[in-house]
Amino acid sequence: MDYVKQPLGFRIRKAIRSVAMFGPGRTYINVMGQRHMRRSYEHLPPQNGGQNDRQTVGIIGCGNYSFSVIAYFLRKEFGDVIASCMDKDINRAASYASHYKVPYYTDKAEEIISNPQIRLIYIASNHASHAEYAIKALEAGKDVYIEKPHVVSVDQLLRLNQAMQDYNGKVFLGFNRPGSRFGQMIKNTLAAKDGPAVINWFVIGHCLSPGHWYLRDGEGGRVLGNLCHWTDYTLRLIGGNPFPITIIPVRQNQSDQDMAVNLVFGDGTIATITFTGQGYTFEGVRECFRAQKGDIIVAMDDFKYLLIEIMTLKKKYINYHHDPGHRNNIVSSFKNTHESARYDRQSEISHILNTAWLFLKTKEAMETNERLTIGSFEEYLEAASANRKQPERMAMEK
Amino acid sequence: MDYLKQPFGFKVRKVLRYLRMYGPSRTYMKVLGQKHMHKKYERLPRQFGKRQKSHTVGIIGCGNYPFSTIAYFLRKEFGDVIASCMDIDINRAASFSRRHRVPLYTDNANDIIDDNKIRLVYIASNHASHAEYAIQAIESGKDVYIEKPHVVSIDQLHRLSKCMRRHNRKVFLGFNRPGSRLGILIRKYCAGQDSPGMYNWFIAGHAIDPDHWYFSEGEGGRVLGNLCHWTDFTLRLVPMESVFPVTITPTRHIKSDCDIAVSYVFADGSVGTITFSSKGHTFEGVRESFRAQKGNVLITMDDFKRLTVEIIARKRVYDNAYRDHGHKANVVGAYKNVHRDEAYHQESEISYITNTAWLFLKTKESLESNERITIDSYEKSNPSSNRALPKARLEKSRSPQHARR
Repeated sequence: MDYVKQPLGFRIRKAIRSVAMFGPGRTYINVMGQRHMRRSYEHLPPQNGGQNDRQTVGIIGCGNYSFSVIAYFLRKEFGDVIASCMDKDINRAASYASHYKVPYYTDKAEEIISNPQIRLIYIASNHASHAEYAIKALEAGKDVYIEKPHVVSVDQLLRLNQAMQDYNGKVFLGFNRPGSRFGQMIKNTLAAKDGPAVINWFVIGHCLSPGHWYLRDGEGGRVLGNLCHWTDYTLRLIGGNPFPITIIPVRQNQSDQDMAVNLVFGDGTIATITFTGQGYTFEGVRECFRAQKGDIIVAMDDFKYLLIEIMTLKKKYINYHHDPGHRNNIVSSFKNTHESARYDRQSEISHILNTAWLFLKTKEAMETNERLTIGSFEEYLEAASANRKQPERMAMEK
Repeated sequence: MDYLKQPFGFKVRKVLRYLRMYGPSRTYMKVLGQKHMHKKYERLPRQFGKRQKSHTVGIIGCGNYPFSTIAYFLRKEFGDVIASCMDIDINRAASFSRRHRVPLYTDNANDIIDDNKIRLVYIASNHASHAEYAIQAIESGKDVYIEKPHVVSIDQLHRLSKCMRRHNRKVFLGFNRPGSRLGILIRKYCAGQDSPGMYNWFIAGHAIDPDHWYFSEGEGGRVLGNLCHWTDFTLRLVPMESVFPVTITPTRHIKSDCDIAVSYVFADGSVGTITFSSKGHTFEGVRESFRAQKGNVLITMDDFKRLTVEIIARKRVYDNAYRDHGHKANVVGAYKNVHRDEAYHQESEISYITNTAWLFLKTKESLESNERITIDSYEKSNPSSNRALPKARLEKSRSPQHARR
């Protein structure tokens, strides 16, 4: 829905509701974000220039999320740390630079990737380009924060894996929910109990018009554009080895909207994610999480309300504003890079690969409407490598 | 869990929590229900006798549910209307009769079925016997209220269906949720939108022991014992003409009837998913969370206590003082319909009764085989069952809790 074109009364109600949900600061920036997306300059503004030592962050992709979330939290927490921003649409890059006092804006990603002063690049461009930019940035020695989805194909995943193995740069993902206050509490609560769980998500996404860029060829559609948030979080809730995972698709005509995906994990955990995007949601994406593990029952709504029950014990938690963990995720990546904090390379790479493997295979299951059982991505690599070696061995024997 | 064997502190906390959830009188009755289930007489008490004209109801099955729900609401609303009660455990029948002042108790169902003064029989015995008692009661000219599940096999469904068509009696089912205050509102809001719906249930049921009678051979397990509540409600959210064919997709690990999910894709494109968990003890009883989107309507409902309906910028919250699963409306509605001679649309009720059973039986089959199956309606799948009724009852007004779409 184009909010700027809505009647004044609607816009006022929307702003008031948004203030209640996110607070005045974020509401203001969300409104600014709507304007930013439409900004078009007759004459591009001059570069701000004057890059200082603290400006060590590059931004690739200057869309709404990048404007109203990534840059907002970076500036709020660390001040003017963005050295340059890039978007294929130079108007967006210019608007971004002028709002956030970014010294340099461009429509060429290479100018960011080759800038030696930049240590960390936030990639929030179109989905198909995430992995391509990330690989180039890793090759140039940068750390990268990749918005979801970090890949849109197995080929990209293989190449990203190779880049992560070959270069030392840290990779952070845009899956913010597990790092939110409630996300961590849910994980810790469920981890305290052994055994399989039963997990249920009901998610209402934005209704997208058929011409939306998410749905273009190669961009991954809504499974990679949206659903991956909840496949990722669910994967993280499984203690130990989650594989093999059986993916069971439930759909009618559309393979990536108004559908459900059911997952059976190796430890016996059952998870269901219902994803709908058929109507307009005034309060944005709606998320309802329910889980039971042993005597623990967890109920969480919209990252605002959390209820944890363990037998007779019942504890309610309320966030002052909705908090799906955007701030934590963005800020912690910056801190990790700039404070040289610990980064468990092996386990991070394993998660980065396997969460992608799960959402790519979920997409495949949804498209074919066939049940799929998958092992881990590492097992897939081993099998692929064995298959490659087989003909080589046979040739040698001949 | 046997509450009577729990520490005193646990029992006090449980009662206090239930007071908040159900109010004092239902909590009191639930506590008595626990005692009732353990009652043993050295010498059986005398029959009450003293039967009056108002005693026109028979009860088959005197377990906890008929004691603390069916009899409780009948007595609260209409006074002493239960003429006789039966249980194969005569102690339970006697205890039921003492508490609810029932003139006759027995362990022989024929004493109720053959009683000419009884007009309506509430059947809440073990699951496998529901349809058998119902068929006998219908054949002897009674109207019946059958607790869920009304059948446990396709054979029972065929026989019940034929019996209903032959004898033209009224049959009511124990699916209470659609007739509850919040259930009616959910159906109303969903019916107001043309597009297909997306429905999602998360249910945390009681963890029950492997030797519980639900799991005895032929009793239908938890799909027929519990899950059918939500397969039925989901079915009622889809216009009947848009239901079939339905594709049932099972999701399970080791067990086929709990810690599972089952999804439905209806003919109109609606998708429903029910996740049923029974991992541990649920201190507040069965927990139910319902979420739906249909067009621009968003619905959230928790435990039949709170309902939120959002339509674009409008947001309405409905709160019940206590949890209301619709037990009262369902039990009382059946009594009123029979005794006030209210309308009962035989054809559509039979269609609904057979199709909701068809859906839960096929759901069980799908979960057991762990295979996706697609079914057509009961009538289309079993054409011989679809003979014309002998005589259609006149339709007057319809009580809302039994109105079908």
